[in-house]
Amino acid sequence: MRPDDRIIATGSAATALHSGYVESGPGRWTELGIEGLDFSEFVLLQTGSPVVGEDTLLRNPQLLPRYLLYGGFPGWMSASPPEARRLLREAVSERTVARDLIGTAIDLIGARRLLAYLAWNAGAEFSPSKVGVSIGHAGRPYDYRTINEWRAALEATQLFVPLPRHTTSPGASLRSKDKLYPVDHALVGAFAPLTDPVTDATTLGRIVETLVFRQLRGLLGRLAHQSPAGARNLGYVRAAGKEIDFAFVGPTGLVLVEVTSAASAQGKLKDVSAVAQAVHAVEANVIHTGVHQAEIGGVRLVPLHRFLLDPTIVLGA
Amino acid sequence: MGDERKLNPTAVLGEREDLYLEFKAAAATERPQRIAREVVGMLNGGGGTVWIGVLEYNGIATAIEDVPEHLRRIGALRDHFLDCIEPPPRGTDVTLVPVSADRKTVVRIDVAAGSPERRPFAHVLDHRWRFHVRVGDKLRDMGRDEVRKLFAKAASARESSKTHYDVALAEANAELGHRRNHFLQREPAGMWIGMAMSPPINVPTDTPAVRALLRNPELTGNRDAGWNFANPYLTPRLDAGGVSSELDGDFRCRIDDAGMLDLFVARDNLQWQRDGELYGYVLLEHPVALCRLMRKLLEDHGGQGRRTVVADLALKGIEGWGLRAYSPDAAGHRFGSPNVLEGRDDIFFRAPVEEEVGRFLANPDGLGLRLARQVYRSFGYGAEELPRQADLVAEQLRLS
Repeated sequence: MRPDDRIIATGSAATALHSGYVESGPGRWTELGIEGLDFSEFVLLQTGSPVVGEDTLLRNPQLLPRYLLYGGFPGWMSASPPEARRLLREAVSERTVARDLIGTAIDLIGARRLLAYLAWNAGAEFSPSKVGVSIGHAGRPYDYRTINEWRAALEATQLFVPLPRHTTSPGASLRSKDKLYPVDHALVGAFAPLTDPVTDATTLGRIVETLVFRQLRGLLGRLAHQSPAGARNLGYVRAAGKEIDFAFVGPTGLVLVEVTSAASAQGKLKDVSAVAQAVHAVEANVIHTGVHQAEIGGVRLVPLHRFLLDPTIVLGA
Repeated sequence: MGDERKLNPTAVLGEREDLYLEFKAAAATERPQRIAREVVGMLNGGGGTVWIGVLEYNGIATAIEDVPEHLRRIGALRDHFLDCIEPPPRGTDVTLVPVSADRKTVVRIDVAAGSPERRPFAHVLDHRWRFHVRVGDKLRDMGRDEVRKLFAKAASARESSKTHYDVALAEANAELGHRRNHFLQREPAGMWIGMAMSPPINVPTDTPAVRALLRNPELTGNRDAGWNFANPYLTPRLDAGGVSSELDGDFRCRIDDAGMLDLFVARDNLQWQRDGELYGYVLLEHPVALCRLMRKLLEDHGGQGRRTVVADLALKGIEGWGLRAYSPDAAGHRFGSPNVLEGRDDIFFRAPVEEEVGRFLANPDGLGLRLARQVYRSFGYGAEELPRQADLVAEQLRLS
């Protein structure tokens, strides 16, 4: 081995790897988080086509619905969707969580209950006392401190990503609760207590929202890599009595992204426009599952597939 | 035969084989050509019943025995009859029914007397045509003169009994044949599926409701994550005689004003993750999805009544291409080797598949699966080697 050689070791036991790093790693190795496949990677894997563009979707219209079902986990893409959901559920809850948390003092049964709850309720504000009541059993809620402890443990497994409130007010920031999203949208469907999750409008909405969040994280990562100013402060925003799913400071100013699982975005225009004016956003977007792209009253309507192929579209690029 | 004996195989014990009754042991299903001979004999005679799983001694039924894997064997026999009896049995010409008694299941084959317009029926094996007729409890090969006379009689019967319905059916078949030939001679490599109904119906292809069918697969009971005719990214275009969704030489789905459907999928889109191999779900889902579209058109635009649905499928430019057995999520699929099409470039069939509209509306998947099974057969696969999502007993495609 030469002095300049670098060794890359991969593993999915994020908590165990991180604790090893803390004990003996600093200065010797770098910890990199790797997310599941993004849409372009998924299409590349499914079709073998090195160039992924709108043309690929025209020829393979089933790709986006399949990505909504299978997510960025390539291991089960040859299985039927129900089987893939079962395998993913088992892999996450029986193996990943158990393996990551086995050395801790965490109650695994309780942590799994919280995992299932959080996965299906993707994007909900995290209120430990309410969650404790929801997942408690035999009429006995879990204590909020226990729930917070489990939440921290689950976040350490990198299965969940928090989304804070985007605000310039330190007070509001402190008072606001985070939203929690699964790291991959397939987890929403995997833990949904439904036979066919994508046919349920609520669940489909959560799936699409989780997917958009995952792509935005990727986009912000790339922008930060390109320029130190890059993009920052990804969060949800509340203003003018309304809430918008995502907001971040992009290269030219504040960008808003609202998500709907409907094929038309008309119903969201008024709210997005009001919030955009209140927070002085430079770009306002509604991502929808239809095919029409337009700009109405300063709000850009973006089809989901176009956003997935090129997330910079929300920057007005 | 009385109802009691049709429903209870033990009731035939003690009966003697005759002009209308034949007994075969369960092992006879291993040699379907032996059973097909008997069926042909009855089609050319006055019809009758063949019992599989009834043992006989000197022509008298003595015991019943279980026919193992009876559903699979029924499927294989049905395939064999369609492949090797000419003209192919249709409608209620030949019906295969499993019948249970004493914890054993036997198979009853009801054969109707062939209509004079279609006789004589032949058993085609190794390209040799054999014309059998049942005489007493035995089979006899028909003589050349006898066959010739029957053909002449059939031609005359067809001419005299020709109705508007028959003319329309012949026209539908001819139109599909024309479109198939056009695909085979003029179009790029790929898969073509055509469907027609006879008599035709009037489809208002200029309405948004019909155009929406080409964009949203769920409107016809198909899945949006599957391989089918619907494409949300393409805008359907109206032309003189219908509406079509088209992608420059790669894909075309057209609904014409008379309800004819025409689907073309380029060869590159018949594979999935493995180059040079047809993907099982693509082969199953496209014909079934198109049948579901046809059902929707029939239901919405008054297609009930006396009518026949006709469907045909052809593949072009696939010499050297492979097809794997079983479901893509099965180990047998992943680790097995594909059967490869050798010595021919195209797959097409001698005649379109027909189905009476009532039966089609009750279960459109059945017709689509029959088309897909023909392709699997062309690659040397039996019914049991299709992906398990093709439920051949219920004749339904269960892809989620």
